[in-house]
Amino acid sequence: MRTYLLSHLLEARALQCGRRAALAMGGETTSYGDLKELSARLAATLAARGLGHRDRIGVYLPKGLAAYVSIFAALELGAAYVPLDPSAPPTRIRETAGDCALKALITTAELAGGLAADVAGLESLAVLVIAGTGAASDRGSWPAGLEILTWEEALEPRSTPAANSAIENDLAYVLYTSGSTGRPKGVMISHRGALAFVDWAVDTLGLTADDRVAGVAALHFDLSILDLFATVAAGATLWPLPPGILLTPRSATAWIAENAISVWYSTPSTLILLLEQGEMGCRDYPDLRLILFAGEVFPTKHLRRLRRLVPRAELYNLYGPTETNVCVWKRVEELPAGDHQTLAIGRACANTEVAALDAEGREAAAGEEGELWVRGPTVMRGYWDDREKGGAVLRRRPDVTPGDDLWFRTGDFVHRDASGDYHFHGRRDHMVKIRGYRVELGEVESALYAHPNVRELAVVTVPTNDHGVQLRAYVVPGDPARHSPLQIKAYLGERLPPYMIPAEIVCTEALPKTSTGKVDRRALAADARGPEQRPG
Amino acid sequence: MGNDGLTDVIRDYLIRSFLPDERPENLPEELDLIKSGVLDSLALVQTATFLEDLVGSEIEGHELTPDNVGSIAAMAAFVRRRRAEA
Repeated sequence: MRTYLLSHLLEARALQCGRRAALAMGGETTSYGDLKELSARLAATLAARGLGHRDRIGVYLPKGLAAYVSIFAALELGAAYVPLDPSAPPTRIRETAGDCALKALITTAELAGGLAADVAGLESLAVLVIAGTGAASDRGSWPAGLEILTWEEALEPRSTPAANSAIENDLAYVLYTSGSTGRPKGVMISHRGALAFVDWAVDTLGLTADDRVAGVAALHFDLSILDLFATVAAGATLWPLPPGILLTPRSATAWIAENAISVWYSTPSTLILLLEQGEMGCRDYPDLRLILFAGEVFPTKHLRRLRRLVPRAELYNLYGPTETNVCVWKRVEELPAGDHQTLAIGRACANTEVAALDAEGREAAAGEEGELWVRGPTVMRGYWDDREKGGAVLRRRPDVTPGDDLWFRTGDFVHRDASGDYHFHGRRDHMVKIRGYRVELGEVESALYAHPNVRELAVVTVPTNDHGVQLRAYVVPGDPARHSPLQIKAYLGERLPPYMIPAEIVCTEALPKTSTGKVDRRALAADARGPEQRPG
Repeated sequence: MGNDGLTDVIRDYLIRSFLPDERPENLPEELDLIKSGVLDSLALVQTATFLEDLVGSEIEGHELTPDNVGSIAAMAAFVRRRRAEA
């Protein structure tokens, strides 16, 4: 059978090696056969309630068996899954659920409890499934027309399996990422796009059925696509990181060693946390053969240490925004000579074309800076229900020949060196990376502007000792006597996910301005770099 | 409750590390530190190290639950309990 849908990956493994462990967590394993059976049952339950091709199903669950069953059930129905951040506040979940008109939502009793009031007005939602052993939450607070199912009910065997009429161009998932105007953007990825990435990953990394792949990334983060689907494509076993284990980094390094993890894929921030606070040098990792990282620049100083502590592991630097998944990559051989130099991001993946274009839309010469444009099957279909934003970044190349397809403009500035490797320089807009997560400073600012005691504000990044950068908000309060950093953090905590909340809230009398009256971000950034100097 | 000054030590630490410029009276002992955005995951990692210093021994990840670290009062009670066990 030809594989053209993500759900075919699981079908094939269930037939070929149904007894092999697909998942290992909490001391238990789930076989490929069982994972297929459970997701087929959930898919049939949802199909019987009218869900199917072209619908969206929200997966608002922590990493675990229920989440994986739900994802494969959605795919099996021909629906797209929409992973929702379990640590994000209910108002944001409501916003996302409404934006992509979720028809079903799968969550836990605990998470559902915080959501009832917010979801009440969501007309599209027809089915709520409460995963886990908890009873369905208080019926009274949910809309009358909404059908609520327990996990047991949802997994009852059905005589009629779900039919899947999806084709490879249909959406497999929608991943929400920060939007500059204060509203998150839903990146739409097709089965074809996801499979092109999965095929590349399995071939390039040589994943096999013997691999034990750590599931580090949260499900709403695009790094999870490799853990989830490349693992299934290879018939390997996924080892989701136990919840909360990164809070004590030495438990995480012990977990890697004791469970003979062979593939680890995370942001550099997570690896640096293990290096700096995980007592990583106290153990050997003879089974760890691949360490992949993406999402931000890996400071060379830390990379050198990682290479020394895990000398046998191959290191891969993977680059690509959520809109393209990995499009440029490099296997790390020689490290840059000096700690101030950073690693190249490398060259285009197979089946992908990239180019650095200058301001006139011409390909930049080697050594010259240009914006990175990407073309290939992994490129997104657009942003959910936002043709304007999608149209702004999915473009024809100015210097094209007829027949050329759309390219994705990454907004990242790069140069190509003499050897053909690309190097990342930075961005000219206000998108930053916090622990690998994309954050539009404008989105944080627009949430903060709504605070009643904030008259003026600007959010900038501040370098940290180990973890790259963190956010700092400069706030001019309406009434300085009532200014409270805690109250501002709590206010943002009700509206934004944790990684978007500024670590520092600095009260100031006035913001520096440019001659045209705009906030002088350069002056604020210089202040932020200085030793605790503050303006005003 | 103890009069060992633990809650003040913890409150000072939280303000110094995560909330410079905040007035101590705005951080009551029972304030939910996670819901109020004072502690995110990275701040919790840092706070665990601070609590280990107070306790005098290692703290495991499964101990970092809201019951133990969700508020200043919870942290103080946790530290006292661990000290008593030592």
